[in-house]
Amino acid sequence: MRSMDTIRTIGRLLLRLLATMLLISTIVFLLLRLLPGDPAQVIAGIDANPADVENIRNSLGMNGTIISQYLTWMGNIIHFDFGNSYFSGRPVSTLILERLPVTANLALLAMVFTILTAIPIGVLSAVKRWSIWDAFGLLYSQLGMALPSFWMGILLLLIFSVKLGWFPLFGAQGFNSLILPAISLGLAKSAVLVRITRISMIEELGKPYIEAARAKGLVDRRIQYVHALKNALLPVLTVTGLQLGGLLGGAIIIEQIFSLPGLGRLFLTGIYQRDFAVVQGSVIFMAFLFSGINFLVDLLYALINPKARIS
Amino acid sequence: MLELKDISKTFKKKGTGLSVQAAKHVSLNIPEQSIVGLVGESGCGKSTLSRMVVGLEKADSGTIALKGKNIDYRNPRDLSHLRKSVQIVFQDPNTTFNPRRTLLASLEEGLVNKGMGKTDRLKKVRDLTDIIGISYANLEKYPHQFSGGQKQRLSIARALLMEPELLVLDEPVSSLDVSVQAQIINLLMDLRKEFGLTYLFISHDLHLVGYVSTLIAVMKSGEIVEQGDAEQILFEPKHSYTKQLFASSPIIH
Amino acid sequence: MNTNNDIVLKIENLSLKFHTPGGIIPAVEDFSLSLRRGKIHALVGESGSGKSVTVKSVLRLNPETNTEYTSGRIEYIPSEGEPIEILSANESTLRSVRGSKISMIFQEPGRYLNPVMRVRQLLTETMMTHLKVTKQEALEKAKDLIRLVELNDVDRVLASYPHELSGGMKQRVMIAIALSCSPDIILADEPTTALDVTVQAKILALLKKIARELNIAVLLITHDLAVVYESADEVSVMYAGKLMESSTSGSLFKAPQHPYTRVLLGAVPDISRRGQPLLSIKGNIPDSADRPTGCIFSPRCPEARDFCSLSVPAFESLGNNAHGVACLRTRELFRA
Repeated sequence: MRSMDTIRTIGRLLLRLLATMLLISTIVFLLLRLLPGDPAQVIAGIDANPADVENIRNSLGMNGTIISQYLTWMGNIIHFDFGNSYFSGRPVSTLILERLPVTANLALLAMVFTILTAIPIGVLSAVKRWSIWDAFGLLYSQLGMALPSFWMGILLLLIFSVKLGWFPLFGAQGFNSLILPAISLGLAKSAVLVRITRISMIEELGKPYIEAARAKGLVDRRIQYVHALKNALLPVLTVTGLQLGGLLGGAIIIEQIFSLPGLGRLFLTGIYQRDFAVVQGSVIFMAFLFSGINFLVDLLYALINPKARIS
Repeated sequence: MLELKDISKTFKKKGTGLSVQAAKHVSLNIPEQSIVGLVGESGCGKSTLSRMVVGLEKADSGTIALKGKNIDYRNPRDLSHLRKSVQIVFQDPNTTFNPRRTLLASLEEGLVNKGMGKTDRLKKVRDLTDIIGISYANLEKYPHQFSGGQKQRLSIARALLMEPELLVLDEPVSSLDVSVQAQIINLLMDLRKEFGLTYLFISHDLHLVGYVSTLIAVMKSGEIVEQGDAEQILFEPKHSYTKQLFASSPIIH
Repeated sequence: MNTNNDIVLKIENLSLKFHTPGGIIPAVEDFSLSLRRGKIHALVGESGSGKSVTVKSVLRLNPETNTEYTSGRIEYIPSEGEPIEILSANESTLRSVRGSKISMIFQEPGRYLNPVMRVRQLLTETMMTHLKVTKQEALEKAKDLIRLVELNDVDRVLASYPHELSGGMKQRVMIAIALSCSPDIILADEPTTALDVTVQAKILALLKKIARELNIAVLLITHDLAVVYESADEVSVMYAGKLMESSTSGSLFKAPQHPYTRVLLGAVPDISRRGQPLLSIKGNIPDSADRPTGCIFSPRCPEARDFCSLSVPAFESLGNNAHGVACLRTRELFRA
């Protein structure tokens, strides 16, 4: 019974993931073709000779009927082939895989920072409501939301790298170089998550099953951290999942400030250089990553919340 | 007055592919000036049936006839005829009034829709509030300033303002305290005499239904398992489920 | 006959107030009650009567921040060891009583069971908190408890989440949890109000069986006099925070003395009196902010005289100790 439900839920989520990925691929495919102007001409320049333009068009996969273009496009995506960069001539997929670890580590570290700060602060705020702890939690979240992440990044750089010299100033030089970017990236997310955790925890602590748990003679710690927290984490998890996607977007800016060679820089450079294959490839890849993350979050949600399993 | 013939209705449960039969070939006759008691446990379909009677829900098959004339749910004229003649009072009086409007505004609303002039409307509201025992001056207040029993009186008044012939009472006293319940039941009995009304009285409480009704129908999982004269159902129940209900319902001897 | 050795809980002259933004609300005034082992004592009242607040006081579950216990004592008398006064007990003593010696079941079992925990965990955590048992022993005992509350398919029930069970099954699980540490007292706050009558009958029968066979005192909170009639041994009637009448069930239903109890009984529909109007009580339950002077029931009382609004009636027993009434006209209105 139960395992059947779980399998059905996973199946349903997988189906949705595939449908999303198909839709993303199609939209990116159409964008380039529906936009006015000829990308090949744009890349080659206005006075390039027609043969060059034709070559570029071939390399972009923009010859033949629209249907055959689409099939080739989809086929390539399945094989993780996004074409070659016009400038470096190297496969876009290779470029992405080279840059991925930096961005992934940055996002992951930011997420870890977000969770490790937000949940304890939010829970403490809720459990010790209207105390000095709660005041601190609310101030933290107010500041975190108000300060833009790029400003935070520059501030952290000034204090910890320039003045104190604790962290490298730029470039990817191992774990140390990711700490400041991760904090500046995660702070705003953490601030939002503190609010969500606090509200969710306060709501759960007022529910009837908490009164029942008190009537059972359980210690406060168990009531708060086992009974209430498990329920309170459900909305927190949903928001965290959405934030993880948002971190990928935020990484683009932060990578610029800290000069980190990640996906965001690849993407931005692609835009500056009008390197269509690179831009397309990064967009699709990031969108896939985003859907994949959401899939995992939904799956986790279903495992924690028994009620979400069937519906 | 109203006749239900061979009514069936199935609901699909979202996402599960399962379906629930809320009504299975239900036939029920509500004669003029009678009080038909419909009794059953939660999920038996009695509320769905009441919603179909007032036109809030459409049956999958079967017919509903008002004074011998079949009601076609797709015909707006039929539907408005049904809604004019049949009014409903719900269980929870706390959710039936708009919290941001005065009671007077809520009560008047139906009459405004009928196109009645201001002076006539106010007179009609005043006459009726006198009967139901709420002071007219209090109607300038908002819903939260009334007690549960007073709100239920007011929702009965709102239904009666539309001059219905049949009043559907869906668990009208279930959310009220015992001492207030009796007031509302007595009021309903008085109003019936005064206006010559017909009631469809729906409740899970067999003793309450037995106390007020002239005819009783017992419903279980979408089916009417037994119906007939109140005295006969109360004192010589035939169906095993009716007997089980009697055995389960606590009573003071 | 009952001896004083049977008494397991004594509430004496309890008064408590709630501090709200709108002012101080007296929720319970001068309330007394005793529970006996093996007996079901019903506490009857309408909304605002203070019956739920009273029962929560026994475990001090009312929110500490705005509840003020102004007077009285609540004494739990275990079969061995010293009596414990609940209102003055420290946190750890209180916790050792909650769920272990005195446990509680609630009106809507669905909302009082943690939705993300399996029945197994909900059952074993109480035992592992209060009894010196291993997880394995607790699990074995959990199986016995599920059988004790007459549920079949023990393993499936233990592995279920609350939402996978019907309302009646959830209430049985709640009772199993309440029984898990062999309590002396079960507080039952409207345990059958949210259930269908056929299920209600079975749950009440189960509670009766538990009280008799396990020698547990049950305090049954209800608004339904018919439920009291069918299940209780003793009854206390509350109105607007005050005790109106208290007696054995037999004596109360045979000869109710307080005018409030009489009208309450007359307001219950009885099919043998079809066609007659129900006995109704004029007016509404008093607003907590605007309480009548003198006898709290006097403005609505069919038997009230002028003096009823002037002085507060004391709670007095009638001849035999078991039956007590708080009414200024007790002697004039007495019916055998």
